[in-house]
Amino acid sequence: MKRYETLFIVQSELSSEEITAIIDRYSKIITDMKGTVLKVERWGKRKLAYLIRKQARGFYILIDFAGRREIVAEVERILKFDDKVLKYMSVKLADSITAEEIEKELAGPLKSDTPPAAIIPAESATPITTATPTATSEATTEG
Amino acid sequence: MRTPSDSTTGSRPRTGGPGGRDSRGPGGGGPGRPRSDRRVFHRRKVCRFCTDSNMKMSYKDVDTLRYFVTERGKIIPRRITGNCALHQRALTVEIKRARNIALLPFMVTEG
Repeated sequence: MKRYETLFIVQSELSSEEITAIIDRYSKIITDMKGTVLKVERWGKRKLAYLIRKQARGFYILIDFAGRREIVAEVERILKFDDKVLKYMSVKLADSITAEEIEKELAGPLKSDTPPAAIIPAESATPITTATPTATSEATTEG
Repeated sequence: MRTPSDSTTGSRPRTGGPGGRDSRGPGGGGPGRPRSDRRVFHRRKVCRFCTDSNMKMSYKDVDTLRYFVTERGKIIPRRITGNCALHQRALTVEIKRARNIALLPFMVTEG
């Protein structure tokens, strides 16, 4: 078992129901292939750094999961065909993750829909403080 | 006047005689140039990631990454930022990841 995270951008006009449907769809792919979804984050609408398919905005979704390499291939294959998805990227977070670590992750803030403090969508007015380390950045270096 | 003397000294070592350099006296003037007073200031640059262990590097943390990127979107070399080689290498990877997912620009053309 390895730990991966996939960050993808969907069209910004989608309703929250549609976004939930998308998340459920990809979570199902992961769980169907005996993977475990550890965390789902909705970063919300952000301004893109450059145009993707002539769109300046996108809705960012992050799925953190544990599983085999084939899951990533399958998720990316579906993402590629999905017209609502503008762009996606998968990153390996850890080469191995034990069952205990999965339990520990799930015991934490389970599937929190809100991103950690440092990752606030560009739309929101509150200033971002880099002083507070985020939960996700800690997670990146854990493995 | 200078050219003939130079040519004779130049030919002399080739024939084998030692001491060809002493005839430079009139032309050279010696390297008595005063040292420049300009002192180069070195500000000790330290790697921010080494000193601050709280500082985590992640492609998701765009605000930190922006610190190491120019307004045009270029990665700032470590001779300027003072990062250590290890962290600079890791940083470039994270910046490039952020670029790939449109969190950071590849380039900024306006302006």
